[in-house]
Amino acid sequence: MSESIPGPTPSTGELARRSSVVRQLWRFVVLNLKILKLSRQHH
Amino acid sequence: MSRVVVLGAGVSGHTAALHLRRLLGRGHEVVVVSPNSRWNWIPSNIWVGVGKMTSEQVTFPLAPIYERRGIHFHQAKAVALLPEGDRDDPRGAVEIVSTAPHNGGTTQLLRYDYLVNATGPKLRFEATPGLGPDGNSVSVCSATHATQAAAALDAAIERMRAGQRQTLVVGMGHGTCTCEGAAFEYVFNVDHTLREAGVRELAEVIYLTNEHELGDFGVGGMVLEHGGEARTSEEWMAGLFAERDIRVILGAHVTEVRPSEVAYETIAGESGVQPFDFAMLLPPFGGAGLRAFDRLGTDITERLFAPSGFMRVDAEYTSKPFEAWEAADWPSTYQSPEYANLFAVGIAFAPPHAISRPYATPDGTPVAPSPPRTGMPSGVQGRTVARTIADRITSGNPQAPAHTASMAKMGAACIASIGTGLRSGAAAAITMSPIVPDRSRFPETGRDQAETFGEVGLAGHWMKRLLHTLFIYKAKARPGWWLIPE
Repeated sequence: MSESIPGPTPSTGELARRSSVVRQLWRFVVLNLKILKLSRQHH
Repeated sequence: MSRVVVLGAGVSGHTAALHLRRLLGRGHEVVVVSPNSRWNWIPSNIWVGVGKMTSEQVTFPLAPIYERRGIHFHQAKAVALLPEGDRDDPRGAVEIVSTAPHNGGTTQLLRYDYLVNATGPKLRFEATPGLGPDGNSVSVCSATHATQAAAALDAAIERMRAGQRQTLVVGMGHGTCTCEGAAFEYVFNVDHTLREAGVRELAEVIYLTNEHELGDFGVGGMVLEHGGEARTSEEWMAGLFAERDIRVILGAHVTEVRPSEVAYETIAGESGVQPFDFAMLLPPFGGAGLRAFDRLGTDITERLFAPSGFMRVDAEYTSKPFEAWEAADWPSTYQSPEYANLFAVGIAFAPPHAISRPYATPDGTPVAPSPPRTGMPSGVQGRTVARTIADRITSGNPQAPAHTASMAKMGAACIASIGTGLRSGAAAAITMSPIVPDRSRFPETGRDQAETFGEVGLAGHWMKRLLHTLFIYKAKARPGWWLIPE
């Protein structure tokens, strides 16, 4: 069972920034997969 | 023992040489001839051109890599091709002239069993009066050029810091240029750098291009999928240019670059003179200028090469109207129709036709972006030809089937930087498949919409930065290099 660790509450701006970074990391993974798929095409 | 000679050590030649060395036993010889002593990851030159990277970060010396891999290296320029050999020896040969500091100018005849022409482009600055680093504009075609461009940009920024307004023109220095993507990346990186320096409001930034519309990139534009929506590359790019307040001059052929102004004419019939304080204008490309001779010494250059200087391969070169060209006209084996042991890859092969519809000014001057042959297809072509040659040598069968890689069947990814910075950078990430549209397979757009995609964001910048590191690692032939896709 996990236990939450108390800490400072992130500001709205900080949450938005983290969410944006998480989204960009996700897009980075998607881009990698798309390019890898292209490189494995048969010509 | 067979000897394979690779002319050129750019993306396609270097890739071909490394794969040949990997695929052939030590009983066979791989020789690389390149006038340059250093390898250059050209896609990162745009960052050198805005002072965000140094020349040393995008280049490295070739000789130690080739010595470690057992590849013979001649720092030399190929000047003549003798595919039938000469009176002394029927084996094919290439005449090279050393460009090395210790024996520059020395001529040598190299015999070969197979030859890969990967000589890349000749930068034809002379096509436009005043164009280029020896004239009145700068370039980012080489790391040295890009370093000069960064110094000129720095000087413009200093003048803006002193309160002077500046006009910066970036784009294509001739109506038949290719590599619009590089100029696109550079203009956005200039914009980004000016914003970082806090002087953007003092600058007018202009993108001057031979494309008839934004987003053409020499491939006739694209319809891009993103988030379930389809939009044209023209709509997408127009939004990006408007957002960054970059003025655009479309369909332009530059007629002259004077000390502080560029003269041009457009497909709409306009003639203009645009003053500038800084101009980065790319040159048109031509073939390396190799001559070819038969065994008796008769000049056969016109049989082997197109008038542009690029080498003819297994493409359909019959002249046809633009509408009549087909995807199947594009080459797939890169083998010369004249000599089965001769190949041309990357920029060195002659494209059969334009991918983007050619236009002209009212007085008939062509304004026609040439087909791009960027890193990904060039690398794939180098690897494909290496496999064909290795199969033929190891099987002892010079007629063994060739491996294929047609630009009308392969896709490509283009990560176009629009600014650097771990948190503030961005890039337009574009994938398309195939590079050459094929209306017989994809009647609506010519491309597979499931694989043709575009988005802009920080993730694209990370991708571009990752590719920089990965491809330099691969080019240095570090452990497992061949597992990294082209």
